[in-house]
Amino acid sequence: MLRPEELAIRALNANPKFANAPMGKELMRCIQNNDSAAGEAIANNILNQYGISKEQGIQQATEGLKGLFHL
Amino acid sequence: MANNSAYQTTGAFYQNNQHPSYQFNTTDNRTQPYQYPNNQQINTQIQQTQQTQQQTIPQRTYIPGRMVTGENDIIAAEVPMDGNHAIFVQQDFKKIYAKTWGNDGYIHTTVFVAEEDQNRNQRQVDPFAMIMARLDGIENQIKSQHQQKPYYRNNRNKQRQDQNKEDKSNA
Repeated sequence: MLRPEELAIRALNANPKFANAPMGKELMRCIQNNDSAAGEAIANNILNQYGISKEQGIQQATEGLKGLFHL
Repeated sequence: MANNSAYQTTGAFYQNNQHPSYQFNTTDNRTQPYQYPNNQQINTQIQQTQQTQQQTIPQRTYIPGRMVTGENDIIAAEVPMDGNHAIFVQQDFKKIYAKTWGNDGYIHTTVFVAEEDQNRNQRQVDPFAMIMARLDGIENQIKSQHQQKPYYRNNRNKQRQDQNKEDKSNA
């Protein structure tokens, strides 16, 4: 089984356009440096911008990852 | 920012209809226990996805955006997550919003405000005011001439003064 960090990195790399964007690079740095606090702050900011709750965000991200990896 | 429909947080994965092409299993798994995909399968899927995207990514020849009534009309899903800007023009053309996702997870906005046309004010000068200004100029010129040289009506006054001077000198 893949570790969550590996899964996240692969999910980022699956979309080079997003991975090369400033936010993608910052997220990649957070994952590689195990900087979970910074990663969570970015995630909360994104949720804030979209106007959705953390639970809704987790649910949508889970569905997205399932679709991405065909699980 | 307004609320958005489902699966827009991760919508950047599927921009420009570049959906990865997956190969569906033709075997019936209902009689078999579910098996988690191993690393090799996931790697293969990711490689296929990347290859598909590299083949189908077109060069962007447009800037995403649209006309808006105000900044509150813009939702987060309209700003691309690939680092590019989206341009939103206010309907009255007084402001233009350029929005992009920053590396902090916030949408950064640059607002361009329309500059008023200074020449238009110059063109709209009141003609009556122009005439009055011209008349004022002429009046000032006349006044200044009077101050420089005294005015003698038909030179009679001057002649009289000269005559008086001569009489006094002769006497």
